[in-house]
Amino acid sequence: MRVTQKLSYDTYITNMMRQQDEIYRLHKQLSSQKKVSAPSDDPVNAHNLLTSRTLLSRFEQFDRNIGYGKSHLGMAEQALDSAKDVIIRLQELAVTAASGTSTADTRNNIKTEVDNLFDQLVSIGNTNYDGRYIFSGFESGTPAFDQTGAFQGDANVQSIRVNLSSSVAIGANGGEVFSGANGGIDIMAAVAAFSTALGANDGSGIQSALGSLETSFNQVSNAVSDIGGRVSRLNSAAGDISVYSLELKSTISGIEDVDMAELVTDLKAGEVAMEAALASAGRVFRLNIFDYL
Amino acid sequence: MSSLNAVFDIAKSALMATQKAMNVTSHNISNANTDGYTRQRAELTAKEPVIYGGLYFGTGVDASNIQRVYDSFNTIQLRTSVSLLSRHETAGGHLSGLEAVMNGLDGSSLSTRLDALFNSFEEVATNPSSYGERSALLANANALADSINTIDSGIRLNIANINGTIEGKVDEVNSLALRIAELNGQIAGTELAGIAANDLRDKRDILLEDLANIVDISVTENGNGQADVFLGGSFIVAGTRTSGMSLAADPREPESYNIILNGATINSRISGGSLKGDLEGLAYYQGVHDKVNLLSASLVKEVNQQHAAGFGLDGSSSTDFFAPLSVYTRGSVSNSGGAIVSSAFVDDLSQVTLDDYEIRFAGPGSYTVVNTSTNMVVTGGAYTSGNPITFDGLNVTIQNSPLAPAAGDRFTVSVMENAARDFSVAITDANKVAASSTAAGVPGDNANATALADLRDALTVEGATFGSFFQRVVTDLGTEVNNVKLNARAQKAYSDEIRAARESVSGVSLEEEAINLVKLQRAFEAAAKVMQTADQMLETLLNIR
Repeated sequence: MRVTQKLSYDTYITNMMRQQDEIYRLHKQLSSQKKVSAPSDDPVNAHNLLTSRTLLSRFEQFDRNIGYGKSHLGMAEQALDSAKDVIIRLQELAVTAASGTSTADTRNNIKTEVDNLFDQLVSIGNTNYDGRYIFSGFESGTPAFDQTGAFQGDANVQSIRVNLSSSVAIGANGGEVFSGANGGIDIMAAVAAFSTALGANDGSGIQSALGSLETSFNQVSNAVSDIGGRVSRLNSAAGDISVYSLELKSTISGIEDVDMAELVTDLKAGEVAMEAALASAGRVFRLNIFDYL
Repeated sequence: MSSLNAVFDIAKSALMATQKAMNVTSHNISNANTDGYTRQRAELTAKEPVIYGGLYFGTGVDASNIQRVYDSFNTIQLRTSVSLLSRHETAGGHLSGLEAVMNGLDGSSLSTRLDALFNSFEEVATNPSSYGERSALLANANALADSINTIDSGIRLNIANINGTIEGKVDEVNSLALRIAELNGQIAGTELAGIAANDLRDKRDILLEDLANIVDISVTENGNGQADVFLGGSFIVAGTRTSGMSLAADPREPESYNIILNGATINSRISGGSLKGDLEGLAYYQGVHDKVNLLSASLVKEVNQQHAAGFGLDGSSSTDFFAPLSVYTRGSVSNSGGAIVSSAFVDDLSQVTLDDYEIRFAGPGSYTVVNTSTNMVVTGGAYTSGNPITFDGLNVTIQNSPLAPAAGDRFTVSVMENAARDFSVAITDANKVAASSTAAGVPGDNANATALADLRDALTVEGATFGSFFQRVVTDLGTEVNNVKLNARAQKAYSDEIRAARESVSGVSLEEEAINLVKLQRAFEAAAKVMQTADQMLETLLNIR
């Protein structure tokens, strides 16, 4: 092949540009720490990257939902625990009132405390968290119970998404737990009846209050363990999410993050090739026939 | 005739020929770095001999011709590869631009903002009575709208730019054609006189390569040495005549040009050059624009339908979340009647298909409505000026203005056309976000907010979810960009090879010319010596007394 000066210069420039382009590309990756900055850099993995990111953002949202749900359930659990304490105190009072030594006077004294406890139950039923009455169902703007202990909310419980396929109810319905809407006992009415029996010095009424308070305690206690079950569901969902998220993050990082060792090696190789090109060009350009003629 | 005088003549012819060859060598050396220059060679031939005394005597040397060292096949190859290279490079540039507009992998991309919107719906579902979550939802919805609007305006701007480039290129093609035709005239004139028009041919080759850079051409040389240039089978230069290329708006697609040569539209016959790259880029831009419009229209349709079914904190219902879809209509430029569209709107969002339609008139009294996406007739009937035509949830009124429509008149109807441009959030009061599914459920009911959040998993756009549809568009684009870049790289390597082959044959080698220089110098010296010797011999003769 006949090689002319212009041919060697042009070839040299082309190769030089290619080397520089390669070094520029590696430098860009080094400074951004990302090997994929546009889908065309790695079309095969771009789709994977995008879907992983979307999924990750959903998991982060589930994680936030679960956090909110846990504090909501925690609030309900706390309220129902204090309701249990109130009922235990009521049971103690009922036992005292039912004993043969109780007089109308002592029963009247007990009634005062029972009335206070009744008010306390109503205020527990009206627990407010983050501006919402947690036992009112969807009517979260309205207190769950009025002064007489009548339920004013509706029969719903709010649910939140905890993973791609399931939801968890994040509370208990006051109508169900306190007023026995689903075939249980109306605790408020039971306590009110107990108070009435005390006021009327009605021994058999007090006896039957003993029984109804027992049922009430069980009803609240069941609701508490139900909530406990849901909290542990949320915890296991959160655990799953952190595992999945970690996996997704490592997928994403595998696709878009640079491998420093590889990158630095490539860069070094590129620099060596560049130096070789420069050196060879220097030699070729020094050769000149006019030096010999 | 063998005389000393003849020796003088022979020496003279050698001196003359050597000077001519020297001239060519110096021309070569001075053009060693000129683009498109073809090295020349002086062709030396022995002059006609004479017979004297039964012997043939030579009469010296003659520079009979100055030839270009030229491989015509290589030139054709080079032109073809230049066309392909500039096509791939141009298309690659446009597609990279589109990729930048779509901004697919960035943290602020449309994909991220779609995720944020649906996460916000879920956030509202978690805490439906809280103002904070609702107002964050509106902020995220507005961010999504910004993202879609930005993509739309980026695409529109680039489409306009590409069209501007096409206009410029058509002008350039025409001016190149004129200059080639002019050179054709000069070359034919020179060569008829028997002189090789080497440098003019080089100039013409450069112009032809410039032309091939813009559009793929085929070149044939006629008997007079004139280059006839054909483009898509139709001539643009024939001898010294040219045919002008022109542009006309495409009646179907107002954003596109038809390229016209000799009365025919040749868009589909252009297969190379940067013009082809522009056309390819334009088609891709329009394809992606359609998809972004489809995505926007689907978002408006699905979200608004679900949102209208719910109730806001203030008890409001049937509220539009995004600004409702507008109906775009356009009369074809070839309409000959006088009817115009006086109003067009969406009647029933649930029935809207997002396909494009055409209302076609068979005559002034009857029309049919055709879904141009499926090519099915949707409805039809007798036309009465001012009576609304309803189909697939749309309501379009056409009226005489004052003339009636003529047979063959068409009106395009589309809810997609400007969907991305007009995409915006209609709600400004966060309390109107309909999280509840019943009026009685306010404020704690989150069922409608959950249903809105669930739309992210619904297969609503061409069998895909909103998110995966956009991701598909971006990924397809990435694959295409990558392909075009690979094509361009391969084509670049190939055309570098051909250019090297051309340079190898036709390029000027300074070593070669330097040696020529020495060779010619010695030849000149020798011829002068012959002359001197002959002179001395003559003097010897004259000194004989």
